[in-house]
Amino acid sequence: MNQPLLSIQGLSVDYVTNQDVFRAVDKVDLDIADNEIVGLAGESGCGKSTLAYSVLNLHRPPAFITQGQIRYRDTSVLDLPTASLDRFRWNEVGMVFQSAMNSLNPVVRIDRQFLDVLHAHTDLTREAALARAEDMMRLVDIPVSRLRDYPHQCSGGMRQRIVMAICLALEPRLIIMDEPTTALDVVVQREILQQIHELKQRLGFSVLFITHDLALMLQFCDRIGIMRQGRILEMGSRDDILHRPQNAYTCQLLDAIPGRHLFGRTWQWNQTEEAAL
Amino acid sequence: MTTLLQVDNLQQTFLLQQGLRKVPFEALRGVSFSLQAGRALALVGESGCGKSTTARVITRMHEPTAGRVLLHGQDVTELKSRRALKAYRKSLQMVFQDPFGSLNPTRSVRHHLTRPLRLHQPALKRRQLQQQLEALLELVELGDPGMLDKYPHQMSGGQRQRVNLARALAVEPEVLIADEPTSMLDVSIRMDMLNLFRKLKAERQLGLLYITHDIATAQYVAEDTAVMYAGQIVEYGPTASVIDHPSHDYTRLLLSSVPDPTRSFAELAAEESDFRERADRIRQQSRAAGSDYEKVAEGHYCLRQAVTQQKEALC
Repeated sequence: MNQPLLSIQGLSVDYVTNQDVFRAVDKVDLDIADNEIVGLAGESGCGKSTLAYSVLNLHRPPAFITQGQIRYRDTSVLDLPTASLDRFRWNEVGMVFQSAMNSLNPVVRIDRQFLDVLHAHTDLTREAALARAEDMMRLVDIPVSRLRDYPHQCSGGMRQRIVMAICLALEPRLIIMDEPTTALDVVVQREILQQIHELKQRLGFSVLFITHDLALMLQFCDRIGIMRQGRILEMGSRDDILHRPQNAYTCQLLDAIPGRHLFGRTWQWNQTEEAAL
Repeated sequence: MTTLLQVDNLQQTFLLQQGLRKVPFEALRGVSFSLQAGRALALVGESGCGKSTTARVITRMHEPTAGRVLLHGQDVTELKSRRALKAYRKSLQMVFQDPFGSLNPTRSVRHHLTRPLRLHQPALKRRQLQQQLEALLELVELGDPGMLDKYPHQMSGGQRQRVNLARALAVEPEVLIADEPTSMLDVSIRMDMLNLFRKLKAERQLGLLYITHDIATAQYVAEDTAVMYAGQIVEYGPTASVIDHPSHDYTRLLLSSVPDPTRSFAELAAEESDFRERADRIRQQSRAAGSDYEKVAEGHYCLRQAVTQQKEALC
């Protein structure tokens, strides 16, 4: 196998409190290859977000990475000095946070938020950066005129796509998505994930996708890890997890997927929709 | 079958401030349905479709612009006196979406459950109170009486939602409104919670209004389903009939968006590359005002929307 894009080896993260030490991530190994979508599924508190934060070395006390290493190509992420770490974040690895639609600054117009990111991480002139922002908006199918709007003037799904667009503007090789669609309803969720999938095919990047919704993960990811109490219990292709789960906990999560009777159904749409056009 | 609650042609218009002008926004455009004892109705739709506004009108947090809400045939939108309102709230209770925000973080479970018991049964003796508290915990499957002295931060989301449910059931309501009660819970706990709702509905002969955006969960709880979009019910009927033979395009859109682990996005993107265009088109069309309902099957109806209006909406 080729060298993976990202390789996590024996990673442990501890939360240190006055009373004791809580191990949130416990000796986890994880590889992500170029152009691969890897998923981490598990209940809240299982350590999946903590693991994601480690990749960008975002932890602040009381969280400490106590063991293991993270290699991104030939760099050891945990050994990067602050200046290089700033370049590494967003340029190489982007992150879409949980409830990303609330991570836009509410009092700043959207074009300004693009410019902030592009100025901090590139040498583009103002004009070039604006052109970049317009390209990105087209990429996620939002009218360019929306750049002059404030976040609250856009719907939740649109804001989510704008956050994606800002993240993609720097062409990262890896994007970490932490519950990117949890706050959205199912139709919008499907629209956004299908769009990410298309963008990935066009631009080529890897994704670390984190959610507690196993059904969604099975649709979206190439490989899936099932996490519980800080450990990865099982790691396999989507086919393996879906048809040949090895772990009892995986089976339990699979059984909890609602809407089984809907799977594999195809849909007939009313004729009027074509006629109306 | 006894009809407990009937909602009749409910309309709600909000005035939104836009610059210096006030612009009317029609949140509800003629919503009607009824709730029967021991049965559940799932009100399904995306955020902003008016399903929570419906709940807020029924619970009298909003005054409706037009329409009636009848409990045992009596119009509750006209209730004014404190006493009548208190009696109404004893018959109708609500469980909210956010299990974290709806409990006071500085108060124990005992406090949360004692208050409704005391409010509605002032003569309760201390020993009876303890018995009732324990019975309530038993009812929502929180077993251990030690739970009574726990604080919200010491409990998981699922446990907190059970406390919310116990609080609502403490006054023995006839109608229970649950607004997205499981959407903030982990998927693995969601099923247990839905099963609990189903059990309580049968045991207590509750009329349950289950509000959700997830049509896939409706069938675990509700005998009937109503699909809502842009302030109107676009399709309603027995849950099995609505899910197996959806006849409104918006219902089909909702059903087709339920995550299906057996089909990857690679397949879907190839088969339905126009998904987003279609979704936009269906949403546009479904916004048109409808006049009457067309019968699809026994008890199953679909809103008829004017085609001309659809064309206008598309232009």
